[in-house]
Amino acid sequence: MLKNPLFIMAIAVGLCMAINIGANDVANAMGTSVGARSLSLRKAIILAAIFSFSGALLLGSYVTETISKGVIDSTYFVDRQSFFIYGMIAVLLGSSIWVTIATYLRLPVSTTHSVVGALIGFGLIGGVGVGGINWGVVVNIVLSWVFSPIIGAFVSYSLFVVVKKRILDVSSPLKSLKKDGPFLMSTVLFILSVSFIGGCFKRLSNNFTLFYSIGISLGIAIIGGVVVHFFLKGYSLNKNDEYEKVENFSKILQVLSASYVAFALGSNDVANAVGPVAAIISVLKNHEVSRQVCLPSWILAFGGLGLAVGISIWGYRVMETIGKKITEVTPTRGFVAEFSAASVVLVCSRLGMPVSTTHVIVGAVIGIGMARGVEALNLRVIRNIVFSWLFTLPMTAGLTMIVCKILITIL
Amino acid sequence: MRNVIAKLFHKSPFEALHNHMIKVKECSDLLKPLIESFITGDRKLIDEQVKAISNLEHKADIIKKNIREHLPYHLFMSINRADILRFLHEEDAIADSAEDVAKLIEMRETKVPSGLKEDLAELVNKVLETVDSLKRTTSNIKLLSQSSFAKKEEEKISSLIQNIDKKEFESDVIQQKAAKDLFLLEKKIDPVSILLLMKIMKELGSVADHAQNTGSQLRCIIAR
Repeated sequence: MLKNPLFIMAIAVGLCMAINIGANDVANAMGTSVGARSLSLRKAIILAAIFSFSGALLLGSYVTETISKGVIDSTYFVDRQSFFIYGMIAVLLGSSIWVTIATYLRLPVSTTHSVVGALIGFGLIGGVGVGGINWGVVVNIVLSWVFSPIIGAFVSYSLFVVVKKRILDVSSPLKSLKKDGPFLMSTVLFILSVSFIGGCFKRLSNNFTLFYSIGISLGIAIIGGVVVHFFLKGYSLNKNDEYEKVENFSKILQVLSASYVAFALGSNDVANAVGPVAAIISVLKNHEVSRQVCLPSWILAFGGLGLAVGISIWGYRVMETIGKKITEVTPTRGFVAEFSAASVVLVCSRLGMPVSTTHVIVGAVIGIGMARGVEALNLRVIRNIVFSWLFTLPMTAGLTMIVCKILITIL
Repeated sequence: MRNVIAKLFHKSPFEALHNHMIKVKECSDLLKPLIESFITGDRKLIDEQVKAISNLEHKADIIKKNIREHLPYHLFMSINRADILRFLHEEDAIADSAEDVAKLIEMRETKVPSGLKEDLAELVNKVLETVDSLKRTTSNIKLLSQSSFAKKEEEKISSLIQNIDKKEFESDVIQQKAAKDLFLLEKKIDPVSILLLMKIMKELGSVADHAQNTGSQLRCIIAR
């Protein structure tokens, strides 16, 4: 199989897509950390690469299954295996091309949406007809696009209001930070380790996953809280720069949430690149088109590697631009935005909804704005996002149909 | 390269507002040396100082225009857009009035009668104190946004605004006293000088008035 040109081609276009995702989505999600000067560009890149890779490997499976079997019913292609393979390659190529064009046009498209559009395009050209596409799944996905930024806004608004009530809007922010800082850190550590360790156990064995991961996470959270308690004790109560001290502490939280966001992103987005590849490999291996595609760890790891490569070669520039442009965001706000976005993405990813990380984080930032946490936001971005929703599906569907036609004619 | 996040964050107008305040303060602060040379009657010095005031007023104007241009309707801000624009308008009027004072002084060689010298010096001091307390108030806006509009910071600004009101009231009292003193001298001075001196004092008073209005505008901003 390794010498099969189709296999090599599938791997190549999958990698191309993964690099695209890494470059755009990851960089967007972690940009506020660089903007708030919580992370240097280099550290942000390293963290992003490591955590999106682990996210892809440990939690990636949920969405991948949805993408490959949800939108189109693959049993239509049982008798047309090679057509199915061409189609999947076309799906990857079509969405890659669209993401690249959109990147050039500065349209904030989602790689997730692109793949869904491409799958619809493939379904239509593949003769399954309009009825062969599982519109129920498509409607669910479209709803999740609309709702995920709103949920992101809601979560970040609530979290920011809590941070504001407990730490910022008090007579002495530093005193309340000393009191609440350890709890805040424990909570963040707990949520982070539950998702991380939970993923590890899921890969290793199916027994006692929840029990063990909650136990270990609690331990980590308590240790973290105690460490932070003693760390904060060292802060002297100097009245003049209390807000700055709070922001300084938030930098640590933001580094954690940046790792979390990269992790969530890896788990959510790897499916976009790897789902179709997995489908192709399954056909090549078993010589049949099945409803379910088994996802071996190595494919997820390969996708994660693609993400990491994308982050290092192109995400660098994206993050640099974001970091230079947004100087107004502070670590407390950045932490709330990233943490909320990562949580929403992870939950959606668990539920099998392919959401766009970029759009969720835009929603999260707007949520903080609604709590009067940001000085000025440009809401025209929302218009661009709505445009991208309207354009992405027909564009990728059309592109995929064209690519598919060309592939069939050539091969 | 697409950059939704970079696009989402619009440049905050707060820093530019602060820069505008600094220019307005620089401009109005020149009124003190100007009134001093007006009292001594040094025309050469007056010409120079008037030019400097005009220059600074123009610079404040440029900052004002810049802020206005960069506040499009689709911005979503922690402070209402119209409030910011009204605030900016009033703040800029401080510099405008300062320039008007300068123009009135330059316009005609008017001698300041000795009975009025002390009043004038006192008036300009109090007016500049009003502007200064405004500046001390606006420099707290940054804290307000850092704390995301915490009650503590709002109260602090509120009490600073009351201080502006107090200073403005005091300058009104001085202005009234100066006018009385001027009319006591009405037999000794020519009417045109009286007219001009009155106008100068009134315009000096409006520097303080505009500082007070700016403070009131800030009050609206907080009371959202």
